[in-house]
Amino acid sequence: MLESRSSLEGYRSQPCIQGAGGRRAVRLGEVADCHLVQLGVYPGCAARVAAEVLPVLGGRLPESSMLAAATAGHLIMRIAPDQYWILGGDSGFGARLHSAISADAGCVTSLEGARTRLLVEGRAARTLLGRLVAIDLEPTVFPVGGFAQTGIHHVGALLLRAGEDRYEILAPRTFAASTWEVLLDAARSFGYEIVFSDT
Amino acid sequence: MTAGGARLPVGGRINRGRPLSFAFEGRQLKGYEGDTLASALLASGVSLIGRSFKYHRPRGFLASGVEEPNGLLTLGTAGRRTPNVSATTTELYEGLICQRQNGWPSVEFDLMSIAGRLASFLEAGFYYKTFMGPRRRSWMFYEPFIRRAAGLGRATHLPDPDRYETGHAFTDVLVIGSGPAGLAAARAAGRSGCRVTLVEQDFLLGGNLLAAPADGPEEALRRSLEIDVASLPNVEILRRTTVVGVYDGLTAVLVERRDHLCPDPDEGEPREIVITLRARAIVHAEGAMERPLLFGDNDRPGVMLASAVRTYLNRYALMLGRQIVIATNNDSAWATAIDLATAGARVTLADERPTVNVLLVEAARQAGVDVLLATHLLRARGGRAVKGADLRSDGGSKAQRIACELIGMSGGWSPTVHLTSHTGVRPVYDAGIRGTVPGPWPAGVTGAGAVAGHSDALADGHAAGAAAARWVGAVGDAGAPPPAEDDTRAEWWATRAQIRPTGQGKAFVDFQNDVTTDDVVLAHEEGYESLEHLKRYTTLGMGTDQGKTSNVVAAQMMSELRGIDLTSAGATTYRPPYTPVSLGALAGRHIGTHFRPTRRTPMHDWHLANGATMIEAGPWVRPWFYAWAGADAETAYVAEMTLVRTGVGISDISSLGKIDVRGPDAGEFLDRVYTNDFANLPVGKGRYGVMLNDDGTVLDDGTTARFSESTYFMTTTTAQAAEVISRLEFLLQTAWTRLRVQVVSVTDRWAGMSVAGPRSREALTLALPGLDLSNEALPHMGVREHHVDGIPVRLLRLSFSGELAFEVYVPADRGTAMWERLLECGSSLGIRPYGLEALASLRIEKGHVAGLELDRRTTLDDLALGKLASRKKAFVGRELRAREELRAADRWSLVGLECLDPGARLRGGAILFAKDDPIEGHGRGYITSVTWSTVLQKTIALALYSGGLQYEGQEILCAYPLRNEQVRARIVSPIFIDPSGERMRA
Repeated sequence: MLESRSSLEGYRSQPCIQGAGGRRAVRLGEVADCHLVQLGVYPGCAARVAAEVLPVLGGRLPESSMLAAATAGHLIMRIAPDQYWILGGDSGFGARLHSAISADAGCVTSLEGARTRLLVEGRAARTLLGRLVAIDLEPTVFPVGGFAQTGIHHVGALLLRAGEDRYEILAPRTFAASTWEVLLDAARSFGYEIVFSDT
Repeated sequence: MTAGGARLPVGGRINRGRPLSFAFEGRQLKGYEGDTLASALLASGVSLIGRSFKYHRPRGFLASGVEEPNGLLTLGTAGRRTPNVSATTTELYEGLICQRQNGWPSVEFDLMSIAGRLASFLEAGFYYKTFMGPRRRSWMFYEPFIRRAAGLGRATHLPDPDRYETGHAFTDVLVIGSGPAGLAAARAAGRSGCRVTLVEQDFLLGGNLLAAPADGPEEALRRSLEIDVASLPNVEILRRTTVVGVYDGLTAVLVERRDHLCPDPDEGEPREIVITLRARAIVHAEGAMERPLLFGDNDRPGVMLASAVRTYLNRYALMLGRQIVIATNNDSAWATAIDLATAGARVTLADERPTVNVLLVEAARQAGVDVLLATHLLRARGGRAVKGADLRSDGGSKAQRIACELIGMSGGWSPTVHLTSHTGVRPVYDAGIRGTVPGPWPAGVTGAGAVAGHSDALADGHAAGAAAARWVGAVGDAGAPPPAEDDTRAEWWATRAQIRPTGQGKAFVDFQNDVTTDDVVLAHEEGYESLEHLKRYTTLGMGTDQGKTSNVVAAQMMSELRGIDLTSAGATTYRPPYTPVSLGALAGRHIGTHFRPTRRTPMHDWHLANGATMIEAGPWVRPWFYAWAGADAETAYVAEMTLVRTGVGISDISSLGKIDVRGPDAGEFLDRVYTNDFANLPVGKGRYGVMLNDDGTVLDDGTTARFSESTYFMTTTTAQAAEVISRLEFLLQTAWTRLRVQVVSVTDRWAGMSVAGPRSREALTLALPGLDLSNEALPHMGVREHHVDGIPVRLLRLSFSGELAFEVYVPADRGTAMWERLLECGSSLGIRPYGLEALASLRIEKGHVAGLELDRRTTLDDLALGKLASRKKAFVGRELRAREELRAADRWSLVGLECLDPGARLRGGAILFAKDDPIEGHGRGYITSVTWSTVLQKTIALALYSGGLQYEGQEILCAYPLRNEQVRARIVSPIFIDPSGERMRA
């Protein structure tokens, strides 16, 4: 059996850290499931692909490139005019989506495990992220469901606001450990707990 | 240097209930919360604060704020030692440690002050004239001595233990400065409903209002405005935060200082935070700075700007003298004189103007000020402290000497146009204020109050704040402006040109750089008339204060000397930073392990746990060599190479770029980007390909495999992976928008490992039982995708080493498991991992080019890959590769080299010469890659040599000038082993 291993495997036993005044104002961790596929649409085929994927997705492809669309079990983010990231579901989802699309209209590429979902949660989450990303996280500008492709300490990553005080960073797997270390460093003054979703 | 304490028993804006102790050159002194370091030192009787830059003259504080040129101290000790910190802007905190600088053996007794007696030899430009001879490199000899004699404080070489953070912020309206104009602007914009950020460098809001008595109407106004602004939830107030730069796109860089909190780095608390703030509108309200007057010995300790005297009196409750002379050419200093006299000082006020507002004169006389009109200050008297002032009335022939301990001077005010200059708003001369104001504002930017040369700060600030709010779309009611001040400040501006002193004593224009009026005159006489030339010739305006008190005065002097008005003389356009920024703040988090991000392969942890010595390769951290093979790279890589040549090894190649190319037109697309054909590549096969830059040089190479009719799996070099995906996307989005193709980087999706060596097939068969890996089922350049335990596994039979080899790709999260399986199953065959050094050396023996040869200058033909250029199709770079220059017979082309000197070594970068060439210049080429060949048992190399293999067999010289080495070598084929490819096809 080829066992799956997290890119943050070596960080699971790290201690939680108290910040000034003994507080722990953020929770940092990894969301274990990163079932991610990229849907690509060929020129002139947007409407056709949108119709073909509707039954599989259970919802429409979003027009916004700043706000994710949530369907049953999936989060759809338009990352480029003709490209969507679909997060969630199971490892067989990509194949089902692929078979729903005409080969001359669009394609699906699996990015399963290619990104590590880093969790930043808690009352200081926004302040902490403000130290790292050049994105206006004001709720009216970056509401729940909002996402942005940005840079975190020179690493290209996608930042998603998953809740009022909950954010996820989809970092390239090979940069995940480095990004995680930067997160821990920036969170030092806030105090943090470490949370892995499968522990 | 010290006199009696100057602190008044009551008054000021200090918290007498919170005393603070600090160390000054080993002495414990006391101040209060609300003090700056400067006010606390003055309160403790320290008036000699340092020695001047060039002449080592005794100096005291000139100002009370950011414009201070003299009061630079060294703060902290050991790793926290910070030189050249302005004491006037340093908030006092418990435990602060400081010392003076630039005096030897001490500031009190400075032997270097002899420089003052040599002043006539040290005029502007003296070092250019004096230290350039007698030999060409003489300056190199003199420079260390000159720097030791001059200069400011010294930094430490110890690591800084403190933390520094960076961050980002966003706002609708940024208001810079919290004087009356800034407060009114923030209040109006905030009331309009938009997000407002008010930035103040001081720890108190109020700007120049803080110079007024703490129990007067101006204080009431300040408190009222502060309460108004603080009550607005949409207004963020940043104190102790300096806007150090304003950049395009309404972006400002802020530095927040947190020393007052005594941040503990062990608790993760930053000492300073650099914030990049992006605004939608900016209101500049930086105010204005007072100018010094020019008179003899105007730099003596005890000569201050009149506004500073008033600030020290009213904000810090410091009476710095009992007998005081105030000299001015405008109204502003009258308030200082009146406040001092009211507080009990004996004050003489000398105003250069013959007539002054009678109400002002009356108020001064009622307060007890001795008023002298049409009188100017000739010279300050005293050495380490002021003892008197020589005054002369207009038309008078004799100077009147008045004994005093303090001189306050005011030469008018200069709008603080530093930040406004940063984005290219050039200052323009305003004759009404005899100074420069910002030129036309760009969209979204405005200024209010003194920075714009306006006098009605409250109304002006309110209007600017309301306008900025409207600009960003806020529709709320800004309300009425704050109640206007009673007095008009129109006469605060200089109304007369400065009188250039002709008497005795040096008159300093730039206090920090020791530039005198005589230096400016000399610069003019020697032709350095332009302000930019004047600056460079005299160093005027340089240093930590960037000429805040000197530039305008010098410009006025030069315009008079040239007989032109200031408009024609031009103005200094200031550049960031507005105030000095610590190196720690600039570095932020980019130190140590966070200097830059690192990229780790899926098997990274395994490598570390199993004896790998890692090496950085671009952003990647890769195994260099393994402990099983040797203790150092020199020995280990040879053992690892031998393993691959004789048995089987496994190497982590996950860093290769991997790109999913998919779509009905994928073949056509690849045909266009590669020089050779890919549309006709059969499914289940891979092919080596090269892509060119537009100019015909080689961009990258790699193998692309076809897994279905519409799916290709491209691999690139590690170095060019990001460039290639960017290039492919660019072409699809701009050049070939109708092609039905998607390209996706899947470098992070797949872990890659190369199983190489004569026994690699056996090893793979043991690890993946049931797979037919025979030549028939998987020939050289064959590819297959299998599923193992439901997990996709891609096998590409291709070889970088020249041996029988397979590349194995699995999803990244399964990489370690597959790696371990291959090692475990192949253990009976002696399989072991090999690192980057061996990987790179094996390819040299085989003659495969890599990043060192693909240097963006080489062509296909240079690399003996010309046969890969299709004659039947178009591809990127095809036309320009046919340029005459790229076809020349003497181009530096790929060759192999064999070392001919036993015991010698070839070196990468060595310059190549023909046997009889003189060893000089750039030679005929250079060595790109070197290794010890385990097969040939000698040092071999790949090189680029003019004319390439047409000189095969010739002996050449490889020169390495850095070590004065010359080694003989022979030009041979770059393919050192198995030229027929039998091994990899085995």
